[in-house]
Amino acid sequence: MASQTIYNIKRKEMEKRKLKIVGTTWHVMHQTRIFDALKDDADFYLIHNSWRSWQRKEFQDARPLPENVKFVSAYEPGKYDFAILHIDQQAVNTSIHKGQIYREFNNTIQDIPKVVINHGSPVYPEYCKEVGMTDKEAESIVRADIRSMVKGNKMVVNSHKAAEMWGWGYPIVHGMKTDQFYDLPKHPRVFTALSPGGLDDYYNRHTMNKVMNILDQEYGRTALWAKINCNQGGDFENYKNIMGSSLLYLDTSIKTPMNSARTEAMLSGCCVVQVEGAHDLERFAKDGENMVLVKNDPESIASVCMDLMGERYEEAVKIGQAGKKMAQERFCPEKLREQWLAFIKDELKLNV
Amino acid sequence: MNVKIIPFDKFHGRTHGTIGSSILRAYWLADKWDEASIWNQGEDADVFILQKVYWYEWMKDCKKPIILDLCDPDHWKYDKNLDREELKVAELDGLVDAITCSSEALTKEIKKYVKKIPVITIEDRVNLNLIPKPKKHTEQAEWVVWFGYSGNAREIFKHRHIVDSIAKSNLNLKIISESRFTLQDDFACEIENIDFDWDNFAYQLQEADMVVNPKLPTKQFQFKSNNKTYISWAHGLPVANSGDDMRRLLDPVERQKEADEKYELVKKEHIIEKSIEQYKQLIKEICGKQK
Repeated sequence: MASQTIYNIKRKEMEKRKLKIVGTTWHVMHQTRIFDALKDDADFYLIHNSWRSWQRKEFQDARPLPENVKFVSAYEPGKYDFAILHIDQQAVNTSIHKGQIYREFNNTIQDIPKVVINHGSPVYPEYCKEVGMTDKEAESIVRADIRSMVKGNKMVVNSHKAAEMWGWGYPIVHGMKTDQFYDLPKHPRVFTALSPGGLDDYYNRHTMNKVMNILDQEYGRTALWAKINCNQGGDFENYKNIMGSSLLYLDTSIKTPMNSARTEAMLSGCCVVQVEGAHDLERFAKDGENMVLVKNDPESIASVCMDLMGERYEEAVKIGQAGKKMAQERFCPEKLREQWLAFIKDELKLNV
Repeated sequence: MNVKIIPFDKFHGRTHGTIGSSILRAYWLADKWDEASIWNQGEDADVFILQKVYWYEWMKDCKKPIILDLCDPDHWKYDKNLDREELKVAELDGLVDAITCSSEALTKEIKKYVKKIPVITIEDRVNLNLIPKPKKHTEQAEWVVWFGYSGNAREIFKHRHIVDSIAKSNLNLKIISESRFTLQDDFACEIENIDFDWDNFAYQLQEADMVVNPKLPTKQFQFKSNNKTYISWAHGLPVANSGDDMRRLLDPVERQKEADEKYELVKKEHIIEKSIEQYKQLIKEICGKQK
């Protein structure tokens, strides 16, 4: 009887104890959301790494760090429950430093389960372009190389479509604080935060560039593109103000898993104009209701944007509000927490 | 004792072998020092040596002794906000436990600003395990070689008297560097450019007969270490710092005599084992002291 009581007390203590999760800096927006969502369940220990733009200052400047996050200088075996590491398709390229960072952390941490968040999809035609491979062949090589790198670890991906494209992986879709963005009076303006450089095909930047050009040259309207012609310094407050006061958020990417800036735009009440075919749209997007879906055609995208900023302004505001409601329900921290706790319990077999 | 060395090239994601100071002051050291190895991301150690790595944020969180190793006068940094050069080292007094410098001049300079921690000179030295046997000199000299960073080549060979000395001695010039060197003016001898590559560096060096290594009185050069000289000597190549030296070393007997003398000197004074001893002594001094 006494031993049963002690067992129950110990179990309760275990249940109460927060998990200790170790990792390193990588994708600040993505990571900050996990820290927030699991604030009552886990403490995070971020080991410094040598990637210049992932230093603590850059990290903190981009997003405020919650209290359950601490930076440490090195890995200490025996101190943590599991590790979260990060990769994307560029990690296969040995000439890019970030792949090396993953490999070395993967070697350094040996005593605990490791979860690898794969932020990308296998789309990386640049990788094999020099040797004349087709895009499909390149995808196949990227997939095989990533499988070999991740081997032995659990892989989390950011969309259901990404899991399908990789051929394996546990989808955990992002969720974020729904009240941290500003839904301000909407200027008839197009805003985007599409990644400003690298991986043109992956981000479908060709289309974005053309739309920007058409809006400027044919319609005399300057669209705002974060880190290109606005908010170059990456200031979060400034970003939220620009986004929150923009009527339209344009996303041309179709091969990236669940763009978080697009969700931030929805939470800011922007009407999202999204090129058809993006990951998991069928799960949450309703054309004309909570989002405007467009074909991958720069002329027609520009034309739709002009309509929405003109005659269809009221409708765009309405769509923006419906998108906001949907995002608040679907991409909230509670949903993200549920997914992570289920993963930790089911896949890592850890008590939470 | 577990010593981890963070080399500049690795920290900045540069291709291995492209940063000479990392080879000399990190990899050659780790190769010969049983207790030391090259750091990997996330690894802990009893002592860290940061080779030209100013990782302030990590330094703040690291509780273990840190030695910052400097080999260039880059202790001035340009501050964009203030629009002026700002001392980097001023921030280091208290963040690291000791500073090592590759030349006495650099040590003297750093000591002006860093008062609370040991600042000592640990010269660039050679790892003879990784260098082939010294060259034997049997023929009249034909080729003089210079090796190093192309920016320095431009700086050195714009001085006409150096170029003229080579030409007057009927020597040809080989330049081993990461990028091609060309002279604006006509040059009365042949110039051969060789891409720097550690895999064939020794072969290329030993194909020549002597090394030209003039010292220039510029701010940059006054802090330079003597690594080019020691590396040359370790390969069995005499070093000519002037036209007189070049003319004297044309004769193979004279060159061999000088090469033998200098090789013995390297074995006595300039081998990496000496640096390891210095580091061990320094670690002993700083260990136990609370940061």
